[in-house]
Amino acid sequence: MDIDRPSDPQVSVVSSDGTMFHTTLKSILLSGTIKDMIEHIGEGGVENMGAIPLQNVDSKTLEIVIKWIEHHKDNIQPTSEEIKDKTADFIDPWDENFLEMDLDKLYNLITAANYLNIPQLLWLSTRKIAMLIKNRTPQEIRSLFNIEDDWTPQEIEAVQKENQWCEEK
Amino acid sequence: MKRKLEEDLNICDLSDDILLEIFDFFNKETIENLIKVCKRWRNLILSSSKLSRKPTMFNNFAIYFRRNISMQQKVESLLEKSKKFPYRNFCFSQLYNEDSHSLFDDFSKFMTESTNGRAEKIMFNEVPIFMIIKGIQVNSDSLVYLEINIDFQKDILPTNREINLKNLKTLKIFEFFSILKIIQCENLTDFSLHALPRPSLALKVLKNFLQNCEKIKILRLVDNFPKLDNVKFQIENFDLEINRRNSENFIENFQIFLNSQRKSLRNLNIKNSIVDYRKILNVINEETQLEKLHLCCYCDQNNRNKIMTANLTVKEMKFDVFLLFQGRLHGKVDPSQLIKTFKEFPSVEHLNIKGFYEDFSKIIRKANFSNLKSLHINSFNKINLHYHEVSFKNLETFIIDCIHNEETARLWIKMISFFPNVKHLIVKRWTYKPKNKQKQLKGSIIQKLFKCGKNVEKISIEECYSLSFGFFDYLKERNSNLKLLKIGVSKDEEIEAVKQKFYGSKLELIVTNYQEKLTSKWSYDPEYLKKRRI
Repeated sequence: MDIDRPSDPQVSVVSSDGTMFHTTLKSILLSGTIKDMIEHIGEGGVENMGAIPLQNVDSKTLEIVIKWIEHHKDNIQPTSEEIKDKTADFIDPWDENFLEMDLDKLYNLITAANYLNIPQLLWLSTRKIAMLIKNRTPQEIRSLFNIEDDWTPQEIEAVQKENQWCEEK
Repeated sequence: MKRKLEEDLNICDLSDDILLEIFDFFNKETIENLIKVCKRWRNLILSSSKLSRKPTMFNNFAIYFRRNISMQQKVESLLEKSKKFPYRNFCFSQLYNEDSHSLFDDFSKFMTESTNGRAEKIMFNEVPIFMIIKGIQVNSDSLVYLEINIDFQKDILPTNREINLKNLKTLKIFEFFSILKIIQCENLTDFSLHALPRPSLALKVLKNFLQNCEKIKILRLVDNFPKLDNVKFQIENFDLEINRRNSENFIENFQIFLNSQRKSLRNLNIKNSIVDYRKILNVINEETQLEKLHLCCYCDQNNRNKIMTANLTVKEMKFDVFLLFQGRLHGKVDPSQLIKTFKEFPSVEHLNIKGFYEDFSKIIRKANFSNLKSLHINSFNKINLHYHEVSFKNLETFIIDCIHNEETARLWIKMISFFPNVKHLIVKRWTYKPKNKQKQLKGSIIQKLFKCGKNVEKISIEECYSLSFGFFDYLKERNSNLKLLKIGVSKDEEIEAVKQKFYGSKLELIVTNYQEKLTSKWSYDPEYLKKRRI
């Protein structure tokens, strides 16, 4: 084995607020965006390429993302097509636990997963939001997510009528 | 509510794409709710082609007519609605009316404008033929699924022009076979024809139609079987139901067809009340590629009261041919016939006995059940057996349809004592309600159940009508291998009651409202729509 070139070299990434994080190549390649960047650099450039700047991800979120990719670096990642076919019923307990976080962090995580193109993480985090929405009334959804109610009662009545399933007897 | 902190992110800060990803997890009911949350969400949902393609209200459109309602008015209001939403699935039902012919123009206009060439699924149910033709013509490019349920009529087809349904994948027809004369479906993969009136004519039409289809994989035929010796398709699934007396050539035609499909056929399902099942088996036995064979038939042609249906699974492994047997019995069964069948198929794995209320101790005593893995019976009146007389040593699953009185409950427990290794007990319906509280199933009898069923890991009571049988109290206290208890109740209060009973117990408990499950089932599946018909 080549001692000078470890099979999983260290890679550094820098968050939007300038914090540097160290992780491994194997982990970071879970991000489609970074994978594209690295492939662009070409063979042999990985060790010398320096820290990768990620302008759209802040340090708090990047820390979370790195925790996730490091845990999942050895797992085979499903493609976005495969994810679409998945049922939303079962997820890994580790992931379930991992996603226990404030909504605020979760939004940032979703945005980051989307930017970094990590389909599985995006699926998990959007699913988490979906689970929160499920089985709630519109009012409950509004107060949970701090959404302003911009409907007038007349408008909502009109919408309700309109949306009745078109089944005539 | 206003946001408290400026830097707090809001769900609405997520991009449209991500919100749509989230909404994509939901079914129709939830999406309907989401529309009411805020205007942005509504616009987003309505503008998304992905979401509107989901089986939501945006693409299902069903019309039922009653005779006393002004059709003119109805048609106008529906046209209005269909313009607003890009419906893709349509169900037209009972459009017959005394003066339906006088409304020809209105109907044609309606059919054209409401479907507007984008219908992917249409189900016609009791609709005049001219409307069906119109609907098919207008949507000939977009149709993927077509189902026509009308009785055979003498109506002459109003067109002789052939309609090419080039995207049609599924075609289901009930009786109205004449439509096959005018349509061409080169990409059809799933074809069903139920009930053939006037067989001699129908078989000719059917044969011509099938000869132009090359891609059929699933074929369902009922009542008659044409001589199909020159077809281009290679089917995988074949369902056949033979009920008519004049099926003399059946075996011959069946053999010819089966031979031509030998390479591709995997699943074969034959319901037959005419032909001796042994003859069918002889034909099938030549067929070694089959993975699944489901056979239901009379066991004896001369003895029609003694109906017997058999259902077996054939699996080919590399060197051996396994004959697995899944017996299913309907009606009154002559035990001696049953025993005979069991002897013919010694490696029974799944047995399903229906409509059999008599004592079937005799059968059990004589047949060998040592390979049986699951047993499903609907109910019983008596069991005169002793433990040493039966061998169910590999039985893992025991299913009973109904426990309706104390006697069946006791017999159920007695049956369980025959199964030393049973792991999963399923009761489809528990309707037994003790009149007298003292008579409740508890104490010794339940104790006995768990003495004999000590390997039981799962108990499922799918529909439980009576919660007062003391069963739960006992289950809670006892210490055994039981890991999972699944109960379906009819009221939400009962869910809570059951949960409270098991509060703090290690048992995994799944309590659901089975009625809710039934009513909230939503599907664009025409099968479901059919059930909703008046």
